[in-house]
Amino acid sequence: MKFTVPVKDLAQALGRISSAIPQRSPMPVLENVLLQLEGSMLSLTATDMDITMTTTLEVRGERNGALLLPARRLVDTVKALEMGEVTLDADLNSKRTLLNTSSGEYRLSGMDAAEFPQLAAFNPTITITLPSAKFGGMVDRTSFACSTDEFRPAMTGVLFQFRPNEIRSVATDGFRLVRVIDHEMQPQVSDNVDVIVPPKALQLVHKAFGAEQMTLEANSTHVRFTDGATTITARLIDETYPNYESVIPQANDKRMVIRRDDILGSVKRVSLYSNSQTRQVRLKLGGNALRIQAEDVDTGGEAFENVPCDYSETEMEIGFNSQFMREALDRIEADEVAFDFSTPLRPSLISPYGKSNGQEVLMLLMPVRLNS
Amino acid sequence: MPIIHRLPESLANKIAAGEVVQRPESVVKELVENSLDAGGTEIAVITRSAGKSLIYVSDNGKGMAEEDAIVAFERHATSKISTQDDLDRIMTLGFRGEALAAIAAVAQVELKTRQAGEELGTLVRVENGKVMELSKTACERGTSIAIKNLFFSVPARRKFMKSNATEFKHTVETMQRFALCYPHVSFALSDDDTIALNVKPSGLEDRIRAIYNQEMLNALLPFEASGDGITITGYIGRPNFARKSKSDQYMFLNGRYISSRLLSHAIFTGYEHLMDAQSYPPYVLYLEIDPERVDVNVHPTKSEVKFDDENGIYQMLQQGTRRALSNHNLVPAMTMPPQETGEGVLAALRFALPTHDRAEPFRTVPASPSPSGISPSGTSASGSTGNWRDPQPPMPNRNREATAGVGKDVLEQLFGNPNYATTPTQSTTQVPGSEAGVTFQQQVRSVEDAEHEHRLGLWQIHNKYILSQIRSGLMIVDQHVAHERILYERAVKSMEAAMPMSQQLLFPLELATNPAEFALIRELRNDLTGLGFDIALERGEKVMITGVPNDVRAGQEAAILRELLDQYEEYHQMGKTDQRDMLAASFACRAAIKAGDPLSEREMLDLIEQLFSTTMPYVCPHGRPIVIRIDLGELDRRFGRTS
Repeated sequence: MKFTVPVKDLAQALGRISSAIPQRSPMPVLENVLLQLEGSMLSLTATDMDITMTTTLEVRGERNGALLLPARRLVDTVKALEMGEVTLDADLNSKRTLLNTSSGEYRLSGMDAAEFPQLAAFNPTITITLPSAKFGGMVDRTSFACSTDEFRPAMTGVLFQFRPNEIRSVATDGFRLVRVIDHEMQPQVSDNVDVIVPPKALQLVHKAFGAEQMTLEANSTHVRFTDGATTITARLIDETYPNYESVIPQANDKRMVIRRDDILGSVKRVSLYSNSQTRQVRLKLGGNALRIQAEDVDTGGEAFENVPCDYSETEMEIGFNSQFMREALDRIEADEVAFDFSTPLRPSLISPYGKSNGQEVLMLLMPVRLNS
Repeated sequence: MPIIHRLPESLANKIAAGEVVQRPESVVKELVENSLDAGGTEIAVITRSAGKSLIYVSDNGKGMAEEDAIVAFERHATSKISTQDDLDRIMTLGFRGEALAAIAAVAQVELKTRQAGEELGTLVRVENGKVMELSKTACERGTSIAIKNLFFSVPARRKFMKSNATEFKHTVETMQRFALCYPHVSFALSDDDTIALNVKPSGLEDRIRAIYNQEMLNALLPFEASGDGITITGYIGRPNFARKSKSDQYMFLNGRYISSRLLSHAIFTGYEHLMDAQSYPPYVLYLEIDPERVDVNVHPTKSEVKFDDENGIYQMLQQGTRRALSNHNLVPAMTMPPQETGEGVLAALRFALPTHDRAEPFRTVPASPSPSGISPSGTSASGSTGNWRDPQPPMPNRNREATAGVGKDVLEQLFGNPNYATTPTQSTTQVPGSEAGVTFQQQVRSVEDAEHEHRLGLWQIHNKYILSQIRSGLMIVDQHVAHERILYERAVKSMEAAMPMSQQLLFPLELATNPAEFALIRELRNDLTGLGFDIALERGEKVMITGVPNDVRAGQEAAILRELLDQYEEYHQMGKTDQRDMLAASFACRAAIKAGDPLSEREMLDLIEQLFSTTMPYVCPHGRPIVIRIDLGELDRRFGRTS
């Protein structure tokens, strides 16, 4: 295998896939990058078995072939090279590989490409073209709420529901839930398709994709995202997602409308004084005012802030994990937000108040029972 | 014909002997007590066949005149008391006047005694309770008495004697008690020419070293408590030296060994949760109480005692124990045997004590209450320390340092200059220039400053231990037990609150149970709610969890509840009774992060920060150490840096 390529191009391509290279893997072979050259098309592949990322670039090819090269060393070397061209010349028998630049040469030894795990053939049942930014926004608003509990695998992923005229993304960890419904992206599927995608794949998509449009393909076991030269293929989480619609309350009748920046800032400041473990804050509502309180009996810290709001229902007190509140509020793009409460032990809803951008965002928070 | 008649004296004595003389050890005990009551300062005990064929006790006490020597063998004959008042104010070990008569009833006895100022002594030989010989003899001042063929006239008793080794073991234990109780008296004990004990008059410290070894000495902390006419002095063991048997527990009341379940329980509870129920802290304690206020005449062997104010003594012991423990650095430092070099060194790593403690003169109680000490009430300040706060939130914690009480002091003792010890010491291993009173926080800070701004000086190794550089060297924390301690204290606190916090769940967790588990959950439901588990019981033994404690690992709630119940059952079977305590311990054990859980630097900092705001950051609820320290001096020495 031999090719010549501008250092800049190779560095960019390696940079794209580098986050898919496992740092430390029980299978050392996965710490390599697979290089495959056919004519003038070089493809680079990295995988951790669950997620596989491939990117291609144009090179001046001289000799076709495939080889594994140690990923860290290759990435670090190419990143550090001076601008100009680099020629990679690999002897496929000895696996000795030479990187030649105008100023010197770098010798490293590779491994047989056959040792790399074979990727299963992928036959998509649906193919959808999406605007990258919008899809990224959905991912951003949901994936933070995923569970990390390996014992409830379904909840460790983001649920995507493709309907003929909408896309939904849902995430929950049992303490909070996010549902985003986009009415503008028309997936044009004939059937309902539900997939649970591991958040790591979504992060990679978010990081590596820059084009305006992207393609999403899926079947019952895998999902593939394609952005021009780069594809990310991920194994789906093969589990049944909990029936989330049934836990979203329909009759929360106590509404508070408040400026998002006000409440977010207050929660951030007051929660500094909450217990570092429980992060709990107390909300007291009544007479068009919200009082946010926190205390930490361990250190003796205590704080409160009063925030004006629209609330004319009966007075109530409710506790939340401030971390959850911040994470939810951080991801709502609106000047004002609406909180819909029922009782201090029932789920509360947060949503943007006012005009929406075609996406319907709903955040659900489970309260913390307060100690009286 | 009357069928009730008075027993002949010899038979009555034999019956009494059944109570007083049970085995060779009880003979030794009675005779040595006599020697001590006679003012002997050199007491030798020689036995053959563990005392079955011969027990010989000699002393250099005041001896007896001839007429006394004969009367001594009669029942209820004693020189030690004469009036009711004397009985109410017993100052001597013996007083019932039973022992010699009882022994003489079941063995052949030969007594030689001479008082100072007399030329010849008296020899009395008694067999089966009858005086067989009475004559003058040449002998040393004091009394010597030989008991031959114990139980020769009571075959039933003889049969019940155990093997020589067992019988002798009892004798050794008794002699050790005397030796500990009377350090100014020299004691010797040998059996068939094997010397088992030979101690010269000394201070208590040397006596302990002579009976045990230096290590035992290092394991002890001075104990002192007094009030209301009661004085208690002595030593208690460090928690990590707890034994699995009670054999190293010694309590002496007015010079008499006593055993009292109540009082040893007082000490045990003083350790709070520093050790588990199967462990027994070693202790040597001396109670001095006005004899009028105690009744030792409960049982002929006099090891059971009644007090007029048991509660008062209980409190004194419990609080004194707490105080002794909190006054001392309980973090075990690690040292290696100095003679070891080379490869065996790592294998030889073992617990030992901070060098400064060792250098402390043993008998002295820390005079200048070590840097401001811990309030004598001994009650720890929960959640006090304002130290160890992470630098990020600009909280007013630093102001609290001045008033933070215990936390700060403990930290100072832990990590401050070990030279705080009360007397000039030869703690040569100490790093020169370490400053007194540096809190852990400051130490970490200084480490930070010295290195990169963003490093906190915390490392996790093998996802199991947290390493931290501290001023005096290296600190190692076991992450699981550290978290366990934190959760335990929080759980106890939480159960006391009327309505504890509970994170409500969106999807209630279902816990399938069998009828027994269901019943257990129903029984414990209130306290489980106290921990933060909101539970609904449904038909068909279905348990729905609708709320969980805030501090359990997300997603593990159901598993933790189930394990908690198992653990609770286990504790229950081990005989623990305090329901809440068991629940708290079970919860802490199951909910704590495990060895193998990777932690971020942030999490490590939080963990250690919280650990040092617990009341007892050194030992987990099961008695395992949480923190180990390796002094820089020790490291220096290992690397050959010490001159």
